[in-house]
Amino acid sequence: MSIAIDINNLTKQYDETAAIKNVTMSLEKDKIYGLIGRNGAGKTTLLHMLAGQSLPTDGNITIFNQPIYENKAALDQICFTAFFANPSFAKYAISFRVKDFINTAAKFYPNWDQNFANQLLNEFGLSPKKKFKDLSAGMVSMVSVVISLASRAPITLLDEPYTGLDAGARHLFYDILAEDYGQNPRTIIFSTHLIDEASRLFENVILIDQGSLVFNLPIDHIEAMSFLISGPTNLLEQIVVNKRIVHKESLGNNSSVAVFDTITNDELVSYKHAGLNIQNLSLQKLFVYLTALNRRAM
Amino acid sequence: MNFLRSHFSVYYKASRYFLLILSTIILVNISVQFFVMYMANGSFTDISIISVISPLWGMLIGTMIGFPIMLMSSFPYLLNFNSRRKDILISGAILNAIIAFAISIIILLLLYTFNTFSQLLSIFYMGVIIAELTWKSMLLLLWLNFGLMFTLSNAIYFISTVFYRYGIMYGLSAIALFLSLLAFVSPIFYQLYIWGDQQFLVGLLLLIVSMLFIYGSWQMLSKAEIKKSSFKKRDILVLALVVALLAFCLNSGGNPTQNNLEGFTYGQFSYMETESIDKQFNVTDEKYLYINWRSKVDSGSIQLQIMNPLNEVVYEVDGNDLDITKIPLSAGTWTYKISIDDATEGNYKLNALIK
Repeated sequence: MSIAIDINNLTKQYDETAAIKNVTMSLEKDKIYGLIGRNGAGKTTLLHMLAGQSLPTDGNITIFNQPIYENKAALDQICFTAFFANPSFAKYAISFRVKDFINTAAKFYPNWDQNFANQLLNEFGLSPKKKFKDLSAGMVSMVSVVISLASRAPITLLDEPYTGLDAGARHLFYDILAEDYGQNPRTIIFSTHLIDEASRLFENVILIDQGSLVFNLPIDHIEAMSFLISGPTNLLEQIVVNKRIVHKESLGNNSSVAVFDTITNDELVSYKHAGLNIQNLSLQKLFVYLTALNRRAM
Repeated sequence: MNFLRSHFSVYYKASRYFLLILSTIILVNISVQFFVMYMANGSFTDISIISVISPLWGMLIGTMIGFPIMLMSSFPYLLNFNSRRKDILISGAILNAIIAFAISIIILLLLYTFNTFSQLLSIFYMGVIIAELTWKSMLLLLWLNFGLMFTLSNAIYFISTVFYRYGIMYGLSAIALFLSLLAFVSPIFYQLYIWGDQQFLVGLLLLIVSMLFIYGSWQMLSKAEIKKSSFKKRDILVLALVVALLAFCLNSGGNPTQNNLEGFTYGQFSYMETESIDKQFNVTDEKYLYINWRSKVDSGSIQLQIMNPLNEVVYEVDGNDLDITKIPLSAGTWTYKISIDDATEGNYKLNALIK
C-alpha cells in the first residue's frame, strides 16, 4: 500500500470557529475517495489545505512524503481548480475565454494532456472561444472538470464538480472519470452531495462532520456495516441491543433501526429467523443518519 | 524560471483590457495636445514640455498604481494553479521592475524629445538642466525615475497584499500609513525635484525602500490563502488609529522648504524698458542659499545679482542663462536683485531656498 497523502492532526481555525479539528488520516495512491459531509462540514477547507491553497493552523500534510508548503515538487502533483467557484472569480476573469483557462492550465501542469483536453471540450460541447461571462454555471463546472482531468495530476481534487450540470452531463462526467481513471490511475478526492449517484465511483469514503473526521473507510466495508433492520419493536430492542444504532423510527408496534456496525453472517441468519426484515442501508441515508447523530450528541 | 512565462501570460490575460484602455487614453491625450498646440501656434516649437508631460505623468502614475493592483488580483488564480507564493511575489516584483524601467525610459525620451523641439524656457527636472542633457545626467534621471517608479509600484503592491490578507480596514490603514510616510518625505523629494543633488544616493535609498516593500509583501503573501480576508468590525479601530497618525504627520511633518526667502518668482514679458526687483532676506546663522535660475531675452538684458550684508555682489548671472548653484551665507541681511533693461521677449524663473 503506497500512501499518497498523509494528514496529521490537521486543524484549521477561523477566528472562533474550527473548520477542521485535529484530522488524521492517510490516503492511498491510485484510489478514488468520496469526500462527504454536510454544508459547512469542512470539505472545501480540507481540499484547499490539501492543495496548499489554505494553510493549516496546526498539524501537517505530506504529499508522497513531501511537505506541501511552498514545495514545487509536491504542488506539481496536485490539481484543484477551486477558484472557479470563488465569487470574485467572475470579476477577475471577465476578459477570459475558455481557451484562456485551458492555455493557462497547460502552462502550469507538468503532465498536461492537450489532446484529452480538446476531446473533453468536444464531448461537453464547450467552445474554446466562448467568453467566461457568457458561460452558465454548468459550463463553468465543465471547464473546471476539463482542467482537472486533462491535468493528469497524480492527485486530483474535485469539489462538487457537477454544480449546475444536468443529469445527462453529470453521467457523462462520471463515465469519463471512470474510463480515464481506468486508463490513468491516480488519487482522486471527490466531494459531493449527490452521494448515491456518485458512490459507484468511490473506492473509499471519507465522512467529515463539523470539522471532525467521522470515518475513512473502503466502501465495501461501509456497505458491509450498513443495515436497515425492521420488525416488532420489542423484538428489535432485544436483538440489536449491542449494535451501534444510528437512527431509529417507530410506527405503532413496529420499528426500524439503521445499524452501522459489524454484523456476522450467523447474526444475520438469526435475525431473519427471528422475523426481522434486513435491508442494505444506502450511503446517502447512512450519511444523513450519522451526521444527525453527531449533531444530537454535541 | 519557467514560472515567469506562465505568470506573465496570466498577468497579460488579466490586464490586457486595462493596458488597452490606458494606452488609448495616453495616445488620445498626446494627440489632442499636439493638435491643439499646432492649431494655436502653427508649429511644434512652442510646445510646453510641462503641459504635455503633466497629464502623461498622471497616466503613467495611474499605470504604476493600477498595474500592481492587477498583479495582486491574479494571486488567487495563480495559487489555484499551484504557484508558490514566493514565485508569485518574484514574478510580480520583476514585472513591476520592467514596467518601472519602461516608464522611466518613456519619461526620459519625452524630456529629451520635447526639449529638442521646444524653444520655451528650459526646465529643471529632478535637479537636472534638461537643456544640458548629458549621458551622465540622463543616466541619473533614469536611475532616479526608476527608483521612484519601482518604489511606488512596490508600495502599491504591498498595500494590495495587505488588503488581500487582512481585509479592507487594514488595507485602508496601510494606505494611511503610506500617506503618513509620504507626508514626511515629500518635502525632501520636492527639494530633490527642484535642486537635484545626490540623485544617485536618493535612487539607491529608493531601491532600499522598494526592497523593504517587497519584504513586507512577502510577509503578507507567505501566509495568504485563496480566500480573501473578510471585514471585521474591530478592524475599524486600527484604521482610526492610523488615520490619527496620518493627521499628525500631515500637521507636523517636516517642511524643509521653509525659509525666509520668497521661494519662487517668475516673469514673462514682450517688452520691458527698465525694471528692478529687489528682495531682502535675513540670515541668522551660517547657511546655504540654493538657487536655480533660468532667463531668456531676445534683446536687451536681464540680470540676477545676490548681494551679501556688506552689499558686495557675490553672484551674478545675465542674459540667456540657466544655473543651479549653492552660495554660502553668513549672518546678516542679504539681497537678491533682478534687473531688466530694454528687454524684448523676456522670460525668467527663480527658485531659491535657504537651508
